[in-house]
Amino acid sequence: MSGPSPLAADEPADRSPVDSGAHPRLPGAEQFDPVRRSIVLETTVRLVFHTVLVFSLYLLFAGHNQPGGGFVGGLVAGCAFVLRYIAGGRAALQAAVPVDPSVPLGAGLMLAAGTGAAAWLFGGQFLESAKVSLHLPVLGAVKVVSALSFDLGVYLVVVGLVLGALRTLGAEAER
Amino acid sequence: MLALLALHLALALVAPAAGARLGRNVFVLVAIAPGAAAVWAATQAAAVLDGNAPTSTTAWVPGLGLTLDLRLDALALLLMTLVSGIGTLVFLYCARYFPAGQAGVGRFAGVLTAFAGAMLGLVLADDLILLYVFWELTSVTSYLLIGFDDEDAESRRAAQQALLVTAFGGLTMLVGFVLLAQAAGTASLSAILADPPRGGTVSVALLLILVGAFTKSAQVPFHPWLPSAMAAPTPVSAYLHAAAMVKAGVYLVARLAPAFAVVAVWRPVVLTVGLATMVIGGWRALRQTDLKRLLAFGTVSQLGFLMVLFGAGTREAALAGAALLLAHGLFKATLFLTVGAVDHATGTRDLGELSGVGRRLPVLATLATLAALSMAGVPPLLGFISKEAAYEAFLHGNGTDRAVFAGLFVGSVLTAAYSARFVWGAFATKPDCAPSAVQAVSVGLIGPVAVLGAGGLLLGLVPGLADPLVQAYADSYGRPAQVEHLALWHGLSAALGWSVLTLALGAALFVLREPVRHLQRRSSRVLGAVDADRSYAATLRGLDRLSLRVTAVVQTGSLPVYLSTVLLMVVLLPGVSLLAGTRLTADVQAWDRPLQPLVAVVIAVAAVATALAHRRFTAVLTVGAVGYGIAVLFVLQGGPDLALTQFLVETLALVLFVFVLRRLPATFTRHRLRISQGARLAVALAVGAFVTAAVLVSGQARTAPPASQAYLDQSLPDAGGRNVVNVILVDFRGFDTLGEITVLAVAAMGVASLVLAGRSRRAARSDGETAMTAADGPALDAPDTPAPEVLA
Repeated sequence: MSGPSPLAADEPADRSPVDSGAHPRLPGAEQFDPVRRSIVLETTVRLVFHTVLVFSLYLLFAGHNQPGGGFVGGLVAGCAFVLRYIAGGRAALQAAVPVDPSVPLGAGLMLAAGTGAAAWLFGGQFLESAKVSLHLPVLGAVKVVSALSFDLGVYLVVVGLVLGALRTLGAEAER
Repeated sequence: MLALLALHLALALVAPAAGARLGRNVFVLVAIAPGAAAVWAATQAAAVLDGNAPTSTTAWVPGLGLTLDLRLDALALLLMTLVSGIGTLVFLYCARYFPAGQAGVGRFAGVLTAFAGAMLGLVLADDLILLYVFWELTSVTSYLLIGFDDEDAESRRAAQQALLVTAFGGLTMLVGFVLLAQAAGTASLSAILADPPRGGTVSVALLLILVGAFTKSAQVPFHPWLPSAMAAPTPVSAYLHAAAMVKAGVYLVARLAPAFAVVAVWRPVVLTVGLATMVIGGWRALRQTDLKRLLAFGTVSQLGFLMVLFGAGTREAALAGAALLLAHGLFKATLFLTVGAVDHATGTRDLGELSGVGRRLPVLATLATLAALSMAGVPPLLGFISKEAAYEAFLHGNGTDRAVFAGLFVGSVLTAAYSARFVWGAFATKPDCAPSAVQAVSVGLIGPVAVLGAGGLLLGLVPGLADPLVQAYADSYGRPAQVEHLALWHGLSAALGWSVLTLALGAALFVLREPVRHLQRRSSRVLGAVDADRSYAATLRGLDRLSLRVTAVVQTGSLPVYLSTVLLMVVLLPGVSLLAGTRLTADVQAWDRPLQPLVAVVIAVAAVATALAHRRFTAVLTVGAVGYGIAVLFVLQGGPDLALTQFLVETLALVLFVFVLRRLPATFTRHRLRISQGARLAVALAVGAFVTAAVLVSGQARTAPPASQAYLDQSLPDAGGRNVVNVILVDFRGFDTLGEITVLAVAAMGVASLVLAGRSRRAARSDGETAMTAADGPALDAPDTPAPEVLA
């Protein structure tokens, strides 16, 4: 099963309340209990899901100077997955994130610890941060702090935590 | 010296892999470690005997003042001769003792090498804490060695017994070490011995340390672990019980006695325990039928002998002790290795089944007889010289010395008797027993035995070889004008007369073995109640029962009881100290903005509603309202990051709560609570009051400038971020964050496994027969799930 492609959002939503699966409003939702499906919820989630995810990334990147950061960003992304899960059940969540929750958990931990250890390579202390100024073609001058990749690790761990809780507790409750 | 320890460690780590390729010859490889140590010790001998002890100091944990202080003085050299010298021979013996295809031989060689290294470190350590570390390492490695045959229940029991007894003693000893180091102001062994502290604390410390020494050296009443440990492969018995492990306790006593034997508690305890051990061990050895157990009880007896000699705290006794230490290492290793060879050749160690072995294995029989004669104290062997010196040390003193002498005499008579019993049992031709089938014994097994046996004979004939080493230790009591040297012939002294009498009585005991056996059987029926091994088992059973009872009392399974206990502790401990030492000024500002009290009222109402709620769902919603209210307070206070986080966490928590609630009854249960409503209300009010007071007080208790100003100042220049909250999280306190996300990850996995475990248990209950497959597979319960929903 693949993740939602960006194009899928542009397709017209099916108008029948109970969809047997030809054109799903929310990928994976067709496996949900038909009685509990809600066309309003599914459509809304489909509309806002990517927006919320983008917002979470914004919080992640803006966090160093404005309110936000990896933890908050991860929580927002977690909320996006919660919406998806509430609207479409486990299968919808699985369609959106076709990886095991342990993958973001482990990757995040590795990234955070690796960022800290990378400072050793440059003769610094563990977790010592560095600033790099770059000139990117479109964005212009961008200042990147090595703490950003640490924050990305935090983000991934929080996402993994929420996904894991949804899968285990949610799946348990669905029985 | 550190390099030698490192060599042991390196070879121990290599051995398991090398064992897979080399098979039993891996022992030849790892023998390099004790071999190198022995050679190095030999090169240092001249300097050590001149009084220039080589030392080595390496920083270990400077923050805790821990250093790797090693020192090779005369006593350490004496022990090193045993640990590394005899160790090398035992290692080589192992290479032929195990059958060619023996499984796990690499692991065994590795543990044995690690053990030898730990023992070497123990005798070289010049720091109490370092000594303790090596001490426990020998306990752990010996546990693995004794339990080598891990499929045999008796081996496992013996290993566990050895570990529990010696670790109990080791921990007791650690307390003693700490007390001693505190009293002396240093943990350095040589510094403490040079300027020994005195006082009541030191007496307590010494008693605790002696408990450690007694457990390790199998003194009464801790001795049963040593005979039980005979479940180990025979070379291990030879090494642990002749040269290494059990000598650790004796070593410690020998190390401390010159400085502390004058402390009032020392002599009565050491002498009583040592003599009791010597007599009881000898008595028990006389009735054993397994050759190894006979030797084991003999070792117990000899350890008691050594304990008396080293603990007495006189130069003469210490001289005799050092000589006996050497002699015992030589003859006991010879005898154990002989038993191994006899076991190999005949397939049994029961002296009732062995007959005519001596005629078939003459070389082995000669070597073993030599060693047994040394053990019995027959001239011209080293054992005779050391016993003669021991008699001499106690024969001319006051009443206490005479009493000790009487004990030594009885013990030595028993020793002579069981030595004869050993030779007779292993090699004699018994008329009422069929001759044993004997296979040839390889040279690889006899070689080490021959070297050890010849050593005992050589040192007996030429005692001048061992004399300087032994004298050098005895000199820690000062060097008198007239030095008594080790010698075979001291003239027609009283000690010689007692030696002859000892041998005569020992022979008589052996000849009269049938009446003795009856006496033993009758006495054991009377004394069975105080059998130390049974007391050990009873103690373990008692501990099991106690822990069950404590668990039943403490772990009631009632959530309200747990919570109340935790909360009451919070109120009682910090709360009382808060009441006791607080000066709360009236300088409290009720609010900054008029909106704040409004939000506070909303929060309070929601909190009360939570407490009054009947339905779980209502309670969750009102708790959520409390959380959102606090987030609003954050906003009003100007903390957008905090507020954002609080909102999000509250939202997610609400969702997760709902998931869980779907599986729970709709309303709270009101019946069968162990704690009444009133009591819970009281606890809740007390906690609330405490938290309020704590917040108010801690707000006024500031004595230093807040750290936040420094963070605010440095955020942009140092970390390049304007959001100081985020900079603190990812930079200033990044280590904390790393720890926290690790906790998050662990929690996520914990939740997953708890839920999945509960699910498979329920599946087992409902599905009955099919449960096994449901619990095993990752597919769990959802046939429509495309991928396994398991947090791996």
